Amino acid sequence: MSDNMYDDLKSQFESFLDPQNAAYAAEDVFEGDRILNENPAPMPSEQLKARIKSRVRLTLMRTRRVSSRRFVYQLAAAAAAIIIVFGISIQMVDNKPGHIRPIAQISAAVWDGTNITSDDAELSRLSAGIEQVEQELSGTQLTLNIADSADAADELEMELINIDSDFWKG
Amino acid sequence: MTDKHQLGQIIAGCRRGDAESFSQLVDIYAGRCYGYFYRMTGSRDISDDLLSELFVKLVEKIKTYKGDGFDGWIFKVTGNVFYDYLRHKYRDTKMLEARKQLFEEDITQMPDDGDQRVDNLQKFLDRLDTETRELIMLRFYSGLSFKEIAEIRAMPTGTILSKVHRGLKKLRELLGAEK
Repeated sequence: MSDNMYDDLKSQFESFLDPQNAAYAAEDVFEGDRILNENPAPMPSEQLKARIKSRVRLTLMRTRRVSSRRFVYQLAAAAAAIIIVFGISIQMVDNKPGHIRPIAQISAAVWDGTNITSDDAELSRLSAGIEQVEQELSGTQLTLNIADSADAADELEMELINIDSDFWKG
Repeated sequence: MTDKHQLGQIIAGCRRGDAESFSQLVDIYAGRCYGYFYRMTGSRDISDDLLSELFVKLVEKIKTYKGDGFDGWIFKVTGNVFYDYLRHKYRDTKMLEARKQLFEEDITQMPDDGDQRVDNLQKFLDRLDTETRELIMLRFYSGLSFKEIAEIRAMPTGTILSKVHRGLKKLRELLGAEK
């Protein structure tokens, strides 16, 4: 402990005490430091220092292993997040309001052309076909009805003849 | 003695996780930190454990060092290791009482076997309250100024000066009375 140190102590105490008390306080601390210097604490053994050094090495290795494992986990998490986001965005594009999807497989199969002119011709041909089928169907129904009425008249005539002959017979 | 530039290089190595730099750090600080632990606990075994704990903690904490005074930083961690030990040891009153009794027995019955010699100073230091003793030891082993200690302990400089002064004065009186 040098005189410089004593002076430094004194000046530090002078910030809080008057010069005389600061000098006493500095002397007490100076003497206290001298006692501590005269009674040194034991030093750590070389074995202890060697043990600490090897423990530090192990801790460093473990820290490095943990950091690299953490890096791999973070990488895996980032990859998973990218895959999820990609999947969700594809689904969102598919569900967009303007996006036209085929209603059923049948219509897609029947109406697979993209040429409007040929589609119109097909449509009118189909309409004509439907009309023709309808006409044939109603014609058949009419013929069927006429035939039924003729049979009924014959039956009625036969009944009348029978009635007439029965009348004259008494 | 390590100069500032050398110490800076060692610290940089430690921050990179270089084992050799940590070994150098052990060589530089083990003696002073061990002295602090020994004077705070009075036991070589506990000091051995705490010193080992300190350097493992430094491996974990070195990245939090901001680049100001390294001695202040390392002794702040050293103080935290000691207070963690105290908290762990004296968790409940029963344990505290048992420990106190055991501690007193340890001090009075310390074997005089050369390496582990009884020193009166340790006996008298135990009569000071823990906070005062800790401030005296922190100042003595770290070599920090009162102002720097006040900063790391978040206390006014005047309070530190007053506690250290009163503690050392009492120590002088105790040693004087014995003679």
